[in-house]
Amino acid sequence: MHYFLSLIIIISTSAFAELTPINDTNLSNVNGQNGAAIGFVWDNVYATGEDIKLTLDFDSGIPLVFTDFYWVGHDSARKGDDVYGGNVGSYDDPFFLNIQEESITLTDGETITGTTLVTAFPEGSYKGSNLDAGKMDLGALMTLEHASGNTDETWLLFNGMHLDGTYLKSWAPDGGGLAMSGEINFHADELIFQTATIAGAPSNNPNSAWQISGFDLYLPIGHSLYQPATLTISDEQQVVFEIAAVNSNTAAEFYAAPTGSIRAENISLNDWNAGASYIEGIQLQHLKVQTHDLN
Amino acid sequence: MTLIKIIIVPFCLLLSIHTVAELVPVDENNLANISGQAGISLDSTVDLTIGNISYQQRPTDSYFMLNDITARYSYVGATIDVTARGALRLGLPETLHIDEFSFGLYNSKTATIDINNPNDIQTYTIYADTLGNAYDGFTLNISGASLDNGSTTFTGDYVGSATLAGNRNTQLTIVEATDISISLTSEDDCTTFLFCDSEEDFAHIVIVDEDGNIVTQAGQAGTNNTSLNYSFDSPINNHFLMNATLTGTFKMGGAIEMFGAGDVAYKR
Repeated sequence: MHYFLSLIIIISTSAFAELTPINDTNLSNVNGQNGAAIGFVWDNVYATGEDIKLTLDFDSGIPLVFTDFYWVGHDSARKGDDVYGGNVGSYDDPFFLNIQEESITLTDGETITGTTLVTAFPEGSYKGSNLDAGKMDLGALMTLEHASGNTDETWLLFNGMHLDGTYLKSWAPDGGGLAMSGEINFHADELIFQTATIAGAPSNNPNSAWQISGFDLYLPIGHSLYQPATLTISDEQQVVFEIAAVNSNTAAEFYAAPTGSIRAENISLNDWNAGASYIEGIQLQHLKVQTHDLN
Repeated sequence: MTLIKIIIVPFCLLLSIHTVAELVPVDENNLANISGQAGISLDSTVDLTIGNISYQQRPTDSYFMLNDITARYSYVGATIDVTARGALRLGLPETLHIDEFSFGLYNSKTATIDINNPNDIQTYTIYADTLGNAYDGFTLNISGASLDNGSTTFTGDYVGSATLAGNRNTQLTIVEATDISISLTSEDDCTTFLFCDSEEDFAHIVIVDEDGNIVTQAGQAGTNNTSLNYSFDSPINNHFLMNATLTGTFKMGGAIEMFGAGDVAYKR
């Protein structure tokens, strides 16, 4: 019996030792310190407008109006009881937010480190998986209402679209402010721009439409830590979007990175088919877009 | 055996009738009395206004600004639940009705104010309200720390101090942050009832901005003398880019699940 009690005491002492709090130094040696990401899954999500009207008013006095909005699962009905939604991500490959440490060594040996906030769509079809179930149809009727009372109407229809592989990173660069980089991965089975009357049903008459089938856009926007993209207002109050210029110190990293592409398997205008068209090897060495005459 | 059948068969029939009755859909009131329901259902009505939301890239830069944000909407049928996997499941509302969601998009700056540019300055009107009567017995005094350094200008008939005679307001133009003191005094202090002019017993100061909104006021009926202090912010030079307004109704479905995704390292 005494042996048994002694054994219990020894075991319990060991148990106390296991419960000693881990200090920061020990925690920093734990792998996977990128932090626990927050994952999101869109499950059968849809939204259809009943009498939705989005009006954008500019100084021109001609408002831009969007109506008949829908965002539904691919090939779903666009209104009524038969609407079904689309899915984005899964438990194993979610849309996620994460904070992570990054580091990069440039040509001159300088090492840049930083903490980035990452917002990313699931990798999905970016890695070749079949995500037909996650595709969605997005559409709206765009109307220009002229002062004369005349209107121009165009359906904007994105069928079978997804953004898998798209991500945005943001971080605080040296010197302050907010820097961003990311990749756009946009796929649509069909992009249709179709003139229409208000009562016209979308895509019932494809011969009156400009249609792009099998559209893919892959475009890197800057690169984390060494080629930031920034959005600023200048002293003259003009909007400036800039992707930093590549220099001799960052060129090696930049040119080793994947290049952008725009692909269309077929482009048609009314009954004229232009065939496939590809733009490959896009590299934004420097981009600066600035408005004028806002004052 | 027959006796048993006589007892059991009617009992079963009665029981089955009750079973059917139990399958009648439960209405909202009854549901509310049931404990242990999974999840929470939400209906909501929101009427929200926000003055502005701004973003400045660097301290020396100008701002992006969303001004006059209005959100008036209601929704029914939203749900909050926790799934078996421990994910927080947010069910989208069945119906989202938007009375108005609107904002103005501007860029703006607080530096290099051009006093000759009407867009760069901010004008306030000070009303010395004497109950609609333009009596000579009121004196308006305005003073402020910045009055002498050119940061504040007055237009109209008033300069520094004046006895009101039919002109009961003056315009104050602000070109940088300014603290001012305003007083409106009656020469008739009603020392005795016999010599008290009741028409001068109403001293009311109101400061109104360019849009006609009252920013502050002081005084009331029965008041001989009124004063107030006010701090004007530095004017923000806004340039209009766009107004956006959304109205209407969305029919929605599905849910968004949120969960700890572990170590999702950057893979691309």
